[in-house]
Amino acid sequence: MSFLHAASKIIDTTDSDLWIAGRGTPCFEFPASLEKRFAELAYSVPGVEQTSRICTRIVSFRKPDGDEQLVTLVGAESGAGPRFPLPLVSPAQSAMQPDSLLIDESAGKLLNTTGPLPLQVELNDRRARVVGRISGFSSFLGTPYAFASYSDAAHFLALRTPETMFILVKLRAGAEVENVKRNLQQRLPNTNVLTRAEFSRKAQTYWTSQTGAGTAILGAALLGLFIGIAVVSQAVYATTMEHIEEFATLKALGANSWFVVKVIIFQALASGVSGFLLGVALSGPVIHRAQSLIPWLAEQRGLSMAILPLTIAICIVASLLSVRAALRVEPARVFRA
Amino acid sequence: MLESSFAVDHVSVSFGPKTKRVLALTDVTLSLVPGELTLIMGPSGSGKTTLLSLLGCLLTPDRGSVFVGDIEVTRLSEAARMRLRSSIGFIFQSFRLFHSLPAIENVLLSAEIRGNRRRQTEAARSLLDRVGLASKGHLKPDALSGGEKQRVAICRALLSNPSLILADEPTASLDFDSGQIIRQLLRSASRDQQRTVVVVSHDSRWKSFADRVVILEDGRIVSDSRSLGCEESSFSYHPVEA
Repeated sequence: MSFLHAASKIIDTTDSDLWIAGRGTPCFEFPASLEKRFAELAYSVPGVEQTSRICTRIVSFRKPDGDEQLVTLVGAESGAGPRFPLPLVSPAQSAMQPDSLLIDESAGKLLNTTGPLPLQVELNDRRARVVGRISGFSSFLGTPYAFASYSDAAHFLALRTPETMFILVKLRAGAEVENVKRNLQQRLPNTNVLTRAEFSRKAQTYWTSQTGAGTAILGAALLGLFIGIAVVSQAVYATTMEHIEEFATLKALGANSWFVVKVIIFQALASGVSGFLLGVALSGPVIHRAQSLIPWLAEQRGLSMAILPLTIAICIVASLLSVRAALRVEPARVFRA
Repeated sequence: MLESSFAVDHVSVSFGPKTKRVLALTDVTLSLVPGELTLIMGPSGSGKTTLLSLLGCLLTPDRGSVFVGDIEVTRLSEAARMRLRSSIGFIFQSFRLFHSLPAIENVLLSAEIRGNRRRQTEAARSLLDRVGLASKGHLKPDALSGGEKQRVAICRALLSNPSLILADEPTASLDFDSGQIIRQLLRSASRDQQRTVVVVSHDSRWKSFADRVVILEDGRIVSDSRSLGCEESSFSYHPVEA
């Protein structure tokens, strides 16, 4: 879940209704270039209230101590929305500080920007200042994000004047999203016009199903699931075999198969729920530690509760082996001393 | 046709692979009467436990029939035999109590199995009281002596108000005094409560408590005799006439 959120974090942070991207652009991180004039063309489409631009690319960041580190520079115009991190002069004004950068606090150590602000740095050999720290924008590709105004970012990236990367479109109140989207696509046939949700999903799909990253994470999750089933299964089986004489006694006393199954399932659930509670308690500190290696990793409180039914299902599946052993035990063995 | 409540009729039981079949019981017929304590004796391997298992519906014979009242057990399904077992009281040499449960919960286990635990709680307390363990109901088996454990096991067996109680070496692990209490309890269960009690034991001290003594050898009944009916009475065996 953290991976999916991280894969579309930048897209989801904007408040635009539509995104215009170069044809074949799979996600925010790998844009195809667009002509800057498309923004004016889009603005002329009925229903469009505002257009703004975003650009991004990996650039070289020279730290205050002189060392170099690659960062993903994101530049946006103020139309990206109030939640989008931009070096505004003040929260009430849309004007932006010149040559200024915002850096996520998770990258403070890596970029050596933990000291007092502003800090002088260089981006692609051009001078810049780190003026603020933000949170919630941890590195996704392994390169920390740096946020700047669109004009500064275009300057740092040495974008050609007629070039841009994404155009964000905000609609007038009452405008039909699908109508405007269709009109924009007709007006700009060599682009992809997508709603924010569509582009977000497209990026998530790209990272999960078309790159090794998603497969690796899914594979690790499945492996964890199978290991979980195997471990719980072994634990429940060992406990059942340890108490097999008690199951024989239960059967001799007249317990039917359902009674025996209930005892085993209860036993499996008790270990499962204890393990779940322990896991939930440990996940916070473990995730906190792991964030130094995987910055986008985040604790999903809601997901923990969603895992509970899965844990219960694993316990029930894992107890099947034990159920078989307990049901097959011969009750007549109770008379052997 | 057998007339008693519990009976085995010409039963034979064998164990092991076809090539090395061992006969545990051969053509055994025995009928048990309510209100009687029957003692089954015999050397090891004579078939005592097998006979007890047949009466407890835990085994089915290769040949012959087992009767509980009018019901021929051998014709019942496993599920039906399980239901029948819940109305038989079992007492084991090794007690077979559940170590994680307090004494009262061990007693209530048979009620739990029958699904009437709530109605039996008072009865369980009363049984523990009768065997002198009223103050020890909260203790787990590890905190009880051997004799106390067996008394808890007897309470568990009695809670289902069984007409048949089967006890396998119930005093083998106990000292004389504890054994004597168990013998008196089972004797009372047969005499005063008109239950059919079957005890398998090597211990000759049971003879003076038994109404009847059956001796098995090599899977056959070699002796079936009745005592004079009281603990103090002199006791002698009368071999079964061929």
